[in-house]
Amino acid sequence: MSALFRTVSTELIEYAEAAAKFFEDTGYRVRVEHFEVGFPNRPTLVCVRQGTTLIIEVTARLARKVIQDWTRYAGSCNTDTQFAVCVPKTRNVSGAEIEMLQGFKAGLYVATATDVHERIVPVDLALRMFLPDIRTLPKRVRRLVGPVYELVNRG
Amino acid sequence: MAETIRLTDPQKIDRNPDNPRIIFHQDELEALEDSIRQQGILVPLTVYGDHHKLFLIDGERRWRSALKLGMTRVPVIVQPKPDPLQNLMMMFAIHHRRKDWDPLPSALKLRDLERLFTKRQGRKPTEAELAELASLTRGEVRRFKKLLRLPQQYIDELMTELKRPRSEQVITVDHVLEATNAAAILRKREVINEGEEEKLRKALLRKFRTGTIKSTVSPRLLARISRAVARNEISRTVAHSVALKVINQADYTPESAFKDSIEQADFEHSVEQLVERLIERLEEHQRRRYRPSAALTAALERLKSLL
Repeated sequence: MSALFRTVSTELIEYAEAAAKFFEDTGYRVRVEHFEVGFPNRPTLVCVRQGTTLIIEVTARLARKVIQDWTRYAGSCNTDTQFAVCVPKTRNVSGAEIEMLQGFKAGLYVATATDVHERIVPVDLALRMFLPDIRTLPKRVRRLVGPVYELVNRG
Repeated sequence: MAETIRLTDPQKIDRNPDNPRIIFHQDELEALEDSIRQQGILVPLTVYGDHHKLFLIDGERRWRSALKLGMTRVPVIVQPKPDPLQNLMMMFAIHHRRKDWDPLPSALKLRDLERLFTKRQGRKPTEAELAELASLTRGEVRRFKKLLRLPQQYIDELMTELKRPRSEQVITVDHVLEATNAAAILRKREVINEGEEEKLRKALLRKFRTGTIKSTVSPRLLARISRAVARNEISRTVAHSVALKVINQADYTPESAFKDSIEQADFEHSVEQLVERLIERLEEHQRRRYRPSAALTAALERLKSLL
């Protein structure tokens, strides 16, 4: 499959291949380096399953600008669109980087040459739902709606 | 004759199958992407056409960056399709002098170039001809050929290593060549046998990998041991014994071997050479009938007091 990747650097190709296989195995239709008008760049993988589009960038560098561009793009879509980065396991992701990804609601996958693990669940960025501040609700209501808030917060 | 510059969809371009450059690191590609994002592609790609498809002659990194950035038009200059030998020659001429150029992929392509020349001319190219064909120096050709003579296992290991990020690469072509040369010289002087030569090479590479050996040129100390054997400064038995220690003891380095065998002899040999040169100069001084200066006389007095 390596010949398919033209924009992935040599050291990341095995991880890109592992990621493509991982998402195919989980029922996604995977398109390698697919580009559409409006995309901020050509992503490594565009994975589509039912109504969900998951965009994956395989990279060793968590560039704030790239993540911001992708999450903004996904936020402008009108169907379930998620974005995640996939980094090699050898690349240590710092606490600050985790916070940044969570702040942008971007997912995180960690890849070895043979397997991929989900670290931060990607969420539907096209969904814009604002709930009232739970702290303003009565205690009894909070108990009832708390689990729903949690689910919404997790995307 | 080259055509004028035109704009083409980078999707319609493919890489040149003969490009000796096959390793593209993320830091290099990202730096170029940043530049192209800000300024666009300032130097057009050079391509040739074949069966409605364009193939790169020059500009693979620019092309990859343009694809990544989602560019739909890139400037290209279309050249006539070269024959396979010309194509390889051009690849070498264009690429080999660029920075961070990995020698192993170039060496592998040099073999193809040699094969194509042999097929066309009915004879193998001389070293000078090969250097000219590939726009290399003869020294570079010799180095590449040395690489090609390595057992396939080492070539495969080096290729795997090259695909890792530069910061994680431990073993380089130079490590393998230094380990190979050192082992070969000891074998040539009959200090070690054929089986031990391979074991020594492996041990040296293992020690490079673990950081036990820090300097790339450290194995050259083993070559100095073999030269000392040739000069009868140490016995073959002593040299063999330290070579075996390098093979069998995890923390035993070429420096340890050198210290345990010929350090004194090697030092004295270099002193002896210096004294020989000093004697020659003093004899020359006498022949010229110079009157010794006070400084020279004082220095010679100091020398005399040492003896």
